[in-house]
Amino acid sequence: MKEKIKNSAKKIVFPFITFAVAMIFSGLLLALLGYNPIKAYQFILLGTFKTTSTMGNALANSIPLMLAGLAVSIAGKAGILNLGVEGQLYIGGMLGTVCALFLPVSNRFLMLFLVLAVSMAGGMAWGGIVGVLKAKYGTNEVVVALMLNYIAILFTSYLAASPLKDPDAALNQTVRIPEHAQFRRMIPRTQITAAIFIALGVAVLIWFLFRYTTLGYKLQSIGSNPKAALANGIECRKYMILSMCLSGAVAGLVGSTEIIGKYGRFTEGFSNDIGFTGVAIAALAGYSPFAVVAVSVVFGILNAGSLTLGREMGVSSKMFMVIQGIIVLFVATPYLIEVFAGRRKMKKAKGDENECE
Amino acid sequence: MGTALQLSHITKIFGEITANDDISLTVRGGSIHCILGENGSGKTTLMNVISGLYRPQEGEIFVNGEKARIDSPKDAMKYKIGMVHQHFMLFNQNTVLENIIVGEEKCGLLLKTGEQRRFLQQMIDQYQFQVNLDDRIRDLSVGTKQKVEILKVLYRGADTIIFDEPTAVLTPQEADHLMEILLGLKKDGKTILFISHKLNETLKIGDYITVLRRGKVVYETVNRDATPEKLAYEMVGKETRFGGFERKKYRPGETVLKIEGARLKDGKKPVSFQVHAGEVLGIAGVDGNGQQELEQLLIGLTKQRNCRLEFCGKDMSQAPVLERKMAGMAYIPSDRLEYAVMEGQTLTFNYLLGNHSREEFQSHGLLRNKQLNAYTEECISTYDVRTAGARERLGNLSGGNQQKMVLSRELSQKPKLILAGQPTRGLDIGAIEFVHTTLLEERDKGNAIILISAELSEITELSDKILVLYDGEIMAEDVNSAFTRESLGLLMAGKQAEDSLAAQAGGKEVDTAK
Amino acid sequence: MRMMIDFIFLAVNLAVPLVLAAEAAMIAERAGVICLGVEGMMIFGAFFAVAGCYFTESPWIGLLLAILCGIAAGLVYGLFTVILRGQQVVVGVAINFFAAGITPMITQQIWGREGASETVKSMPELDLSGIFGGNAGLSWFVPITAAIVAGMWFFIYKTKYGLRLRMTGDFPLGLQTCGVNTNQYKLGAMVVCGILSAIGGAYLSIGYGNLFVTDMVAGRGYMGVAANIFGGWTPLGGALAAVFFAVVQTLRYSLTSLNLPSQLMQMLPYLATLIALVLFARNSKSPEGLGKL
Repeated sequence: MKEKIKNSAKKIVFPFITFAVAMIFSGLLLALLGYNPIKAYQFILLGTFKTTSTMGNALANSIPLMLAGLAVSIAGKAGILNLGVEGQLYIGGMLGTVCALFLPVSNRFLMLFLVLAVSMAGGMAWGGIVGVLKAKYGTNEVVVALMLNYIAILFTSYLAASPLKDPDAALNQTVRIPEHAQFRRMIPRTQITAAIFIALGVAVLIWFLFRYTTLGYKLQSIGSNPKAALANGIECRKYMILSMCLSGAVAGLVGSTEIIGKYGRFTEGFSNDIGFTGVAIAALAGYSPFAVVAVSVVFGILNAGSLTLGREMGVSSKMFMVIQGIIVLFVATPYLIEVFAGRRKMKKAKGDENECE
Repeated sequence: MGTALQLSHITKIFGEITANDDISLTVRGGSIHCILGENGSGKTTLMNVISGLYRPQEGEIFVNGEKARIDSPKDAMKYKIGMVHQHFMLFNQNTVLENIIVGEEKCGLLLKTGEQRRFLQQMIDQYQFQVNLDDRIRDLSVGTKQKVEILKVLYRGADTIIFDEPTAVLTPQEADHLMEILLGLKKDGKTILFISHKLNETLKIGDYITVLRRGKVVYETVNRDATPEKLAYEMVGKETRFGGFERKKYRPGETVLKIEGARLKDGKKPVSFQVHAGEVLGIAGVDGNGQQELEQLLIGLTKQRNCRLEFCGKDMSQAPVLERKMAGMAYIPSDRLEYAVMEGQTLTFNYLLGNHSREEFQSHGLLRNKQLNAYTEECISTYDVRTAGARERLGNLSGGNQQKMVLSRELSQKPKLILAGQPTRGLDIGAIEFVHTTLLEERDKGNAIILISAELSEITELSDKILVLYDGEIMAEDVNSAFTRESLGLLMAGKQAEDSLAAQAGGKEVDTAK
Repeated sequence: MRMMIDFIFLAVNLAVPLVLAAEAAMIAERAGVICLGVEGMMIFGAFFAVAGCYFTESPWIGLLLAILCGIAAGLVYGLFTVILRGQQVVVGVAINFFAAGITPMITQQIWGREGASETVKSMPELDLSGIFGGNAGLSWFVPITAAIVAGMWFFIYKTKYGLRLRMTGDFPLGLQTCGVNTNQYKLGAMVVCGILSAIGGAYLSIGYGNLFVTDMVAGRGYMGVAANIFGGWTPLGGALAAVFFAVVQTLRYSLTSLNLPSQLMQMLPYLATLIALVLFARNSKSPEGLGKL
């Protein structure tokens, strides 16, 4: 019992410490670069909570992050690091756009359904490639996913630049998709749309999947110990592929909800590294779906805030990426956080680790 | 000779476990000193303290009367202490020569090895080791690998050599050969610390014997005063019976499993055998002679085109693992941590493993958590798995309790065949006894059991029939009583059985050949 | 003929960063550390080479600064993976995030814009036009890189430290019992990995080009990792694989006459990397202790 409480306390407290440490480090970096970190963090908070519209936009910012984090979490539970969300969302977004542009469907709900479904299928296929290659040939999923990202980004950018290009636009982007294929704004002067319900729905579904279904169980078991899973009749390869497909499908949703909810068209480079932010979010949330939702809101604030920072203090918006890097680094090194939390002395742990050999 | 090595009040604690509790020990120079104790009694930890892999929380070590600070294997080497590890510390991709000299190359930046090669060759000739310095480790037999380990220690000029369970991986004959080597080393003035949990070899070779139990020294004696009964009593802390489990008479029923044409490792002859209801089929052999392959083939982790497998009269040659398990095969893998459990997950999670498609625990893909929890609680209490609760991480349990968890999971679904690979490896005596009785109970219930074990005593105690594997081939197959320890030893080393068996069992030889 | 020579020169120039990345990944992975952070360390190298060059107006000092940063980055990388036992793959990814974020921030601070630095003096070239005619310039980095590859081969296979490094990657515990501090070797390998990555990055910014651009490394670090796998974790194999990728990249420039869309041409090297990984990664044998400590 004691153990249990200790474990769950650890689970809850750790992300907070990690986040706090990351913010302190980023603050130090800001100071090193000659900015005032306290002022910077003030801007981020003030910028977010100034008006309903800014708050709404921070929340709107967090919707794609939520979906991206959930996508990474599904694969993560199955023991696969999906760094390919970025590429999967471009493929999904592009397919959704093509669907919205060319399908002769006038019914609004049918249209939205089709766009979302097709984008999920696209992301699923793109993610599935990673899964298949890892399962069949044992190729490193990280390198494969990154190569596929480049390919997806370049290929969709080619489509947006040549065959589907809006002739009147300077940027490489498609023409606007019809009104009935777009989400409506739910709160005036914010970008919040029905996409938020999709994101929350996906979170609930994932929670349900891992808690109450055999499929979720199987995915989790290949993530915990693939050999034992195999020896107990769980076909690792199949579920590895499946987890990447599911993950890719959610990633595809990121693309289409952004386009039909926010931009109304496919623009080259619209994602701005949402897929990678998803990795940081999922890592910090420990792949737990509701934690992903919470962390995403915080990241949404940071993301919106980092734009304010750029305007107000001239800090590059890449600040956001630096914070993510530090967070991921600390999450990957739990031992370090234990040191910060004062649970362990640096020296003691060293000798002990050998005992499992 | 005086005192070579003295330990005084060594205490080593891992987390909440005290592996060595105030241990003091004196080792005389030029003697063979045995440390006897069962698994988990702290022998290996103590040796790792001496050889510098672990640092004790308390206590001092004296070498030749002087206080020694041993913080790393390098320090140990400085004091001329070397260790032959139970799990070989060798590099498969490299040559024997490279393995021996690494860390102590005695050359500049460039790898120049002429001198070292001559020196080692001399040593090899002296001890008649028959080791080729240019062979790659991955091509060597277990016995040869051990010789490489010994050479490594001698090359570093060790005067005190620690052998950690050196016979665990050897056939009886190889073990005898090792004993001769040890005596030879002793004659050359080396001091030997011999770690073992086997009574007879300790009695056979040790000048002094120290018994460890639960991290403490409980008994010290010289060889001539020692008796097996006394040693066993001290080791376990209570009277133990030697062998002799009660069991029903051997009356094999119908064939439960039949396998034909299996190819194991590089074996030229395909392997075929069958096992019947109410029978324990012991598969003897030194580790790495095809057991792993056989195990995986039987449960369906691997499949071979020309291998036919029949289970309860049904052809299951190509059936996937789950189908076999659902049909009544229970599987206790020889590598528990890798193939049977998920250390990072809860006990409940682990109890569902392999049972995840049974109607009892799911319907239409939805888990029935209530039933699962009840089942977990039931297994935990019937098998007395010591745990803080069903939601504890499995990794927190001791090896014995993890094994109990696996056993309870595998046996609770009324199997017809139990495939048990090395089921007692790494367990303490209490747990071993539990596993043995459980397996025999299952046999008495009329189930078939395939027991794969490298522990010869386990095979002879439990089996009704014995099959010896060597180099992926069956060397012999017969009822238990047809074999003796010696004949099994020879067979395990790949020597044909006819001569020895013929000598001991008269006309038996004809049966064996079949 | 002229075209052929130009093609070869271009391929050789494009091969430099990939070969260096492959060697960087090789040395780290031979020591048992999964090394995806090459990309990030290349970004650091590229940036600091330009920064050093900008403030001192000497590309050589720029290169030196890049190398120093490579050492620092390698040490930090090693600290997190080897000493603090972080998950190696994730730490690598984190370093790449960090590098991709921090360099534009500093760029903004120094040059007042985020995407690119001002142009600086780039490294001198070896003028080979006397031999090959035309404008056959070869960067100084080319012979340096060739020497590094040869040096790596010699170190790995012919020296006692190379033997220990290989053994560290295969079975660290085994080597510890021989009295060798394996963490030193892993850390050392990470430092060398950092240096090689940084030189590779520096080549991109002050060897091949003359400024720092945010996305200039563009996955070359990952390609290097792939080349190392493709080349079977050997110094020469990795270098050859990297050269192959470079030839594919060169095609992109020399096929401009075909008028194919630029985005599709840019896809080629990534596609080639992917295919090579799938076709060849299966047969190659990784160090036995890769990813373990």
